[in-house]
Amino acid sequence: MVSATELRESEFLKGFTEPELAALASVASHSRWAEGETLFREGSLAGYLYILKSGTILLHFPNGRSLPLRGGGHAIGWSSLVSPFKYTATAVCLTDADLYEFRGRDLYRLIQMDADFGKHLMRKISGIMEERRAYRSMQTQAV
Amino acid sequence: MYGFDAINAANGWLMAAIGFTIVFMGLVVLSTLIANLERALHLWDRRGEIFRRAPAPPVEEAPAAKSPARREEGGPPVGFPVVRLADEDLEAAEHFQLIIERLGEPFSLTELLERAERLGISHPHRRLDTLLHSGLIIEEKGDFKGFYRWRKDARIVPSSMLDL
Repeated sequence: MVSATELRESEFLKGFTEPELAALASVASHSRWAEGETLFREGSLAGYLYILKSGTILLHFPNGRSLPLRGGGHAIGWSSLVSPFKYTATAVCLTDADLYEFRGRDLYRLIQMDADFGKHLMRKISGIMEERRAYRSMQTQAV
Repeated sequence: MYGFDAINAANGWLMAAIGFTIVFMGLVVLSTLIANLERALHLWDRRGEIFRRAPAPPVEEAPAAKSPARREEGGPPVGFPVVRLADEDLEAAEHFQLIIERLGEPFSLTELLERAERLGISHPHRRLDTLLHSGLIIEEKGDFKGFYRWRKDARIVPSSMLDL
């Protein structure tokens, strides 16, 4: 059982209201992964959004680029909320990792019930997509 | 004519030997193919990545080359970043460095991990995290964002040495 207080600590959820955090907490669960385990693979159906609580996750993109995410607060698996709902990277645990897990379907239900929450969440998601755009880019030739 | 005489007369022994050799050669070829099937499939899976691989960028001049660092007698350069590593990480760092030399720079962490796993380095994921966290492996900038290089100017020191 995840509490709203725990979620409040997360960098990704900074700025969410108490009722929004409570709603998120109601659909969240704890998830623990061991070093070397794969959370998801690129191209697979994106069913879950994760928020990193502790540990390091390495995102491998199909173009060979990688992004290590260390420490709490990073959101992983935004593809679970964006069409075509397929992960754009492979996520591997570099260390043992604790995450909060949200089922994409549950998040959509929350978005349907509260439009403001939906706007808030999707704004955060688009921020992450923008941050990681350079990693998804196919261009590698130096100018 | 019957028996061994007939076999001798019709080059039977030679034919048996040739037949035997052909069958065994076939078996050897077949077993080699099967043994390497995994590698071939692995290459096939990564064909996109291999063909899209970036050409090596111009080698960035190390700060050491611009202004030679002062050196202690027989020791590493002075004034360069010091990275403190536990003894077990030191050995892994050497292995990772060798792999990186083979890969060339900038390199992909995916390939680095794959090779480290293949070479049987213990806990390659955790070791890679340590090397990233310590700053020995650093991310490139600009168009090569997401690719990495080894920080050659860093001075690696066993943590036990610093404790003294």
